[in-house]
Amino acid sequence: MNTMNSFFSQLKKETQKIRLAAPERERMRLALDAAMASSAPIKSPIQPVPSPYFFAPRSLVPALALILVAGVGTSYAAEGAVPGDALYAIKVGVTEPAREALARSDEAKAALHARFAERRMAEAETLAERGALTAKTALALEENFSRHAAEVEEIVSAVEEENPVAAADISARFGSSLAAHGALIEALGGEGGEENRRESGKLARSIKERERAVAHAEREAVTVTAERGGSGEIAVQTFAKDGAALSASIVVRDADEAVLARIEANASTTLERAETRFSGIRGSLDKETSALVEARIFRIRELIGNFRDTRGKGSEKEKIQQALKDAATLDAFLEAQAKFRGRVLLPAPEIEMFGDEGESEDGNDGRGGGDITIPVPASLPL
Amino acid sequence: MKDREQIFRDAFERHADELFRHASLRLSDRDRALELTQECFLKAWQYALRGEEVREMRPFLFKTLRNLIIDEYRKAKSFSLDSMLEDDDGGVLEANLPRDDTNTLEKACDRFDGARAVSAIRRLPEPYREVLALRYVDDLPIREIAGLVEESENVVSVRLHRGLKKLRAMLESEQEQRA
Repeated sequence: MNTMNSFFSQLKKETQKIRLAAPERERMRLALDAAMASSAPIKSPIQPVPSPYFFAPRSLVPALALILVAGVGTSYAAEGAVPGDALYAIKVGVTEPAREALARSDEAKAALHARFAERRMAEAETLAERGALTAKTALALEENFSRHAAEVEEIVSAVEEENPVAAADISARFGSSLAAHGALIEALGGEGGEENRRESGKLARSIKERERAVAHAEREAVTVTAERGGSGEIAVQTFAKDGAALSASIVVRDADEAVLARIEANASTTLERAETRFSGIRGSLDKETSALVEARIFRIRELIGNFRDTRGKGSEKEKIQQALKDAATLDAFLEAQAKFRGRVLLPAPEIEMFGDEGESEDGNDGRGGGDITIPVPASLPL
Repeated sequence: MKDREQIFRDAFERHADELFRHASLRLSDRDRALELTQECFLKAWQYALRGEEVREMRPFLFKTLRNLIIDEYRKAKSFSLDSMLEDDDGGVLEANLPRDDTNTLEKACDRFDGARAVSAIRRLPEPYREVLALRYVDDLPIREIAGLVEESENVVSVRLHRGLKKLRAMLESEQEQRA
């Protein structure tokens, strides 16, 4: 079987070349570490084994040193920078990787990546508002945004089985933030030249796609069956759509309750923040806009109230997620309104009167002013 | 006693490449092979979390990967698992083999191109591809392969034998086409 010997020796040689690329290996290592960290009991802060999160390439050490030596002032000054500013390179090239290297827990990492993704969107908003969003800049922002958004998604799926509560929380917050910023960028880019409008639109679409993916993943991925055990714990098993068991039974205490509670807390906090912003800028808004904001706030409060009243029956999760999403949108718009005074920004997605769930297409027809179609509740209950 | 986490980290460093290698021979999609490899380690970790002891890491990991690959085949919408499997009837094949002109064949296959070898293995139908990969790429002994695919060692030997025949037939017909 000479031919076959030759075949197999060639096969062996060639297949030895098939291996993980270094970044792929690193990613997998981190994913495994994340899974281990999220299920491990509290560890001693003293770590004789070098922490994997300090794999930071040698080039990062001088950067960390720069921050320490140059002082907090430098990186603070850089924080407000946008592409084109001198300090932007420090913001993105130095402070962000440094913070990344320091984040330890899953939630910290996910929150950080979400924050960075949001910063990209905020930078785009600032440029769009100035009319200065070029194709080149938009592309760079989009790439960075996508990288961080992908990290968030990865962490969420890595953590999902061990800690569904944290995963759902991270997802919900990030999804809402995406919805808000997507709408905002589009609105802001409306005026200010061809390229500006086009790039804003493109960026907004890409953000919305990401948001749909996040929402879709939450809804679709798995079904979870839960059985109440003797002492009240819930045994949870996740199944893929075709019925193949994805995990062995994991015992979780009141997972759904915890998820809903966290989303509700987020929604309430976000609404409060929006209300605070509103009272801050109320004076500078015209009557019509003020009335619209008030109606919106009212509607969101109603959603949250309904959720609390009907706890235990019906599709609460959708309701409270919608409330969070709307609160986040409103908050983002009010923040932008405060930043970019003199412009009316409000055309946020419609809030359905009856808490409609599902992937309702964002009604982004408004570009400030005229086309607002926000339903005001017919009767305002006291 | 070694920390459980450290055991898994070591296992990752030691076996990640070869598991990925196996997955990428069995699946056409490199990205999917990456995902399955990662999934394999995560599932193995969960298993350990439940307090189960893993006696031998490598076979356990291969087993976990194998199950994931099977699930992957099931998910492939355009085939049924059956249509992807070759009928295990090497006997018929034997009758169809052309008369072996070993001299010509040897010369032709002498400088067998590595890339073509990999491509050939990838095109080999299941269940032959699996056992040939396990034996000649992953270097598992027959006993372990038997445990992995849950068949007797006899069945595995026969399958290997038929797989080799099938492979040879494939290569020879290729050879003829190129001539």
